[in-house]
Amino acid sequence: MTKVISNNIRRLRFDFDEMTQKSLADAVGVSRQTIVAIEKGKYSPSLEVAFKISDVFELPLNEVFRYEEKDS
Amino acid sequence: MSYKEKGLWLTLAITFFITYTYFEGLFVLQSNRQLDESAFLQLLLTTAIWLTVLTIIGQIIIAIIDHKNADEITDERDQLIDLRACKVAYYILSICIVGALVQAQLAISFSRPITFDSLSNAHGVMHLIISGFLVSEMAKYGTQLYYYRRGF
Repeated sequence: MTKVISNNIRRLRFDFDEMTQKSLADAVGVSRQTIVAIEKGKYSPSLEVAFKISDVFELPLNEVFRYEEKDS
Repeated sequence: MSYKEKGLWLTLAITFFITYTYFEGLFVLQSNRQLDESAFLQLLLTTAIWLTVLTIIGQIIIAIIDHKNADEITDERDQLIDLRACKVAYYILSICIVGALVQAQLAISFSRPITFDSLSNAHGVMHLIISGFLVSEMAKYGTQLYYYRRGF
């Protein structure tokens, strides 16, 4: 069983007054391309960036990121 | 496509073109029997200058065309990708250097030229190392593009 890190960033951005990827990237201090890669599951951020993203949404880390078994 | 990817594609294309030009120049000189040490050094200098000039011009053109994204920051993902690509380039360059040294030792042992008859062994080693450098640079840019596209 392979476990992967997934996230709810896309939905959270939508809920957070339709925040743009660029705004989130600026708030966290990474490039917009990195936010795109994280949302698509193509990149797992460092703990520091993960905490910063959670801070932006004012949620605990485990409500933004999940460590779960891969679907297929 | 991100600003960084555009820059990488361009640098990869320039390095590929310069590598092709270098080898073509070398074999033209060789087939015309004009390959001596001064011609080789001139070719090497021309290659280095063109590589630098074309890369700078290319980056300026991309910055003009895609000026909105020209101030894109370098973050942890870029640094990780760069690190992985440098590791690949390091292995390739190391193999090329060891290969050049083995080739040099064999050439000395059997009293044969390392690469071309008209070049000294020192210049032959230089040619092998420069070739390795160009190949490793292409591998580095290729690896960066691969990770930017595929993710990790």
